[in-house]
Amino acid sequence: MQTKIMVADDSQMVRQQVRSALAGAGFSVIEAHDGADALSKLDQSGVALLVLDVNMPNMNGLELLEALHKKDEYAKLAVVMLTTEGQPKLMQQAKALGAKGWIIKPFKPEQLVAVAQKLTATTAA
Amino acid sequence: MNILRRIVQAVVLPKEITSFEEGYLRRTNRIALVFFALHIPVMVLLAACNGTNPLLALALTSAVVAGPALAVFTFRNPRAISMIHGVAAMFVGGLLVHFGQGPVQIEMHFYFFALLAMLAVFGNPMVILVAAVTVALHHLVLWFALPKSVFNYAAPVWVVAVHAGFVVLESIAGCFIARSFFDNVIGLEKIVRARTSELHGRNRDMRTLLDNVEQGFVTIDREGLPSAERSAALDRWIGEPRAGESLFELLRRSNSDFGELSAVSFTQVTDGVMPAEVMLEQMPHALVIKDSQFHVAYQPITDGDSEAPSHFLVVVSDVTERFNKERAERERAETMALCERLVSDRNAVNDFFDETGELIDAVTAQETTTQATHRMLHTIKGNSAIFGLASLSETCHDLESRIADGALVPEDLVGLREQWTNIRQKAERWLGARGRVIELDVGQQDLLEQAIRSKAPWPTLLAMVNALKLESTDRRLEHFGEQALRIAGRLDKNLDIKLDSGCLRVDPKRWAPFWSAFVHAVRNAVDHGIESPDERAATGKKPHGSIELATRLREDDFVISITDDGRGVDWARVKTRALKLGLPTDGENALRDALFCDGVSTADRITDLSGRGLGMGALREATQSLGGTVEVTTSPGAGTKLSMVFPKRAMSAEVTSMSVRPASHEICQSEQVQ
Repeated sequence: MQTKIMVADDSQMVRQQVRSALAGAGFSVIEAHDGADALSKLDQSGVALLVLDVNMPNMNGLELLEALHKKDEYAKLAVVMLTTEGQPKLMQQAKALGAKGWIIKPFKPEQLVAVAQKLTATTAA
Repeated sequence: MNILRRIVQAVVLPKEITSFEEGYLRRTNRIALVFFALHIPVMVLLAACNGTNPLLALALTSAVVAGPALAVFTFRNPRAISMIHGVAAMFVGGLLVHFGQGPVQIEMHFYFFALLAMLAVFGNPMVILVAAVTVALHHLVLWFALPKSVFNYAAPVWVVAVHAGFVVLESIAGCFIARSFFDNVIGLEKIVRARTSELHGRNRDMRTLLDNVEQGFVTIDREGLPSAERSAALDRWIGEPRAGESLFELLRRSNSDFGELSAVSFTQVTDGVMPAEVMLEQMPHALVIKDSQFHVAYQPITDGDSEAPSHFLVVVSDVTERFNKERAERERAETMALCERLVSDRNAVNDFFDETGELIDAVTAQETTTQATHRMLHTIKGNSAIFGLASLSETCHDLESRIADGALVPEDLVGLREQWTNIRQKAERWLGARGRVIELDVGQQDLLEQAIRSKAPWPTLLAMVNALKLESTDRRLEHFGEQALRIAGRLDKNLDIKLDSGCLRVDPKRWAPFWSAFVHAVRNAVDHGIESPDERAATGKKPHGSIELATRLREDDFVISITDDGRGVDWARVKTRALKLGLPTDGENALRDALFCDGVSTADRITDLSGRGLGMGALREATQSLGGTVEVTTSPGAGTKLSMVFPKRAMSAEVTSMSVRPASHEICQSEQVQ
């Protein structure tokens, strides 16, 4: 069974890039266009990794991260931030809320695949 | 001869006696003296028990021990003392054989071999050689003079030869062991000194290299602490680290943002959660210190079989020269493009600088809404691209991205202002006073002359003269056509451009904002309207796409249109986007309206050309501000025609006069550019 990864980003272009990179590496990709959309789709989805943008309408990435942090059922969900933001304070905030890592856009597909493989392997273990 | 020389070299030690060897031999010589001194009571006891004159044993053994005792306290050369010990050892052996006369006298000879072996402890083959010669002479002399002192029977000469043979064999082995002992143990200090000297040499070479190389090299550990060894260039560029200060704290002193981001990013490299190699690539690389640009790169260093890097090599390169060169090259190219444009259409360049200057002022004043700022940046981006200012266009694109991410900060706009000021200062050298220029070709001059000669009424003459101040639309269309071809080239699309200006002129000042917005229609048509050659071939279309740009008079209207033979508007996609934005989607008109709303784009991706869904909104706004309306005619797979329809009076204040004498505007023929 394919490992499920969700990408939450308000940019269609970024979602497509993430999908293209991860689907090519054998992952099943679910898209969400903002934080609220991601939260609604995460329930019962069996997602192992969430690739999360920071700046999004409705519910931004850090708000979603905080919401997930409070729920026990998402304790095993690995989250990696994928954003244009490079502010150390935000990075530390995300880390404190349980994000595994922070990738600054633009990204190389192989980088994302390496991250997904490592984080989903850890989750599976 | 060669073998003999090698034997001598093996037996004779080098002259130099190191302090280590000297200390070792002095200690060993003293121990040996004690060892031989202990033979005195043993010999006396043995002689007493064996009835072989204990007093003589006392006298002879004491005499033998007196030799090395004298040497230990008088000789300076410790190797000489050792050789005395070699001689004494054999005499002690001889005394044991002498005082051990009786049934086990032959067995007492073993002691010679034991002593010979023990002499290897001096690490000097000469000691063994001297001992061997001593025992040989001892046996030879006593065999003749006092045979019972050596053998307890009448041993023939061949027995003596057998004894001598074993002594020779053991001596050879003892010499070999002693020399090996000297070379590898006693000579260790020498070896260490040689290796230390070699290391010092290497260190000196490395230091020279690090002091002179124009690149920053340093290794850091997993805590970011730099090693003591680093290149001098690094100290010059970012300073010397204090005790216990990490590289990132050091960087923070020169560039706080870079240092802080590097420190936080480095924790991702070392915490083992994310792939280290990916996180190393994600480390910030572009370091700016005052006017200098540096590139910082990281290389993992692993120890043994461990996968996790134990250290990291940090390489800092000064790329200021390359950066400045590239920037200068780019500025030169942009200046050339601007000059070309200036030669071909000075007024358009003037208009561009006027309008863009106003937009930059408005954007950097930060008194407008984010949406308005976004639109203005979008317009500056489009106009800059038309006039060949790619760097300004890219800056606007980046700022648009930051707005889209909600991450635009006021500091971001400072760079835009500086960039624009720089461009304007350079351009003003060529623009001079930047006054508007009226160009008059021979045909127009003829028409004017004829009108004057034929004594035309003065209102007609005035209208003709005023019309000269107007801008020919063919110039504008020409520029848009060239831009469309440039964009098509970048996108690997084939394109034919058809221009039809209708020989019309418009007021340049009044129309400048419209032309700025019209560029978005051109970009959209090429980027999203015209299909790729493969897609066109698959749908049975000719490989070259076609775009027609036209300005025409239609009864009482002035119409500006752009027509492409591309894929047409995807209304289903427009509907999807409109729904997401909460816009009305019921009915054709609602969807047409949605097409011009901010954020609605049929593009799958945002490029530096289009896709943000802002251009069409800006175009409709510019059209409406001139009293016009936008008409869209589209057919799936056949193309799209976008018409901006204005009342004729919008063309200029002198529009009535123009219509009286249309001949005065017959300045060109429809033309085709490919």
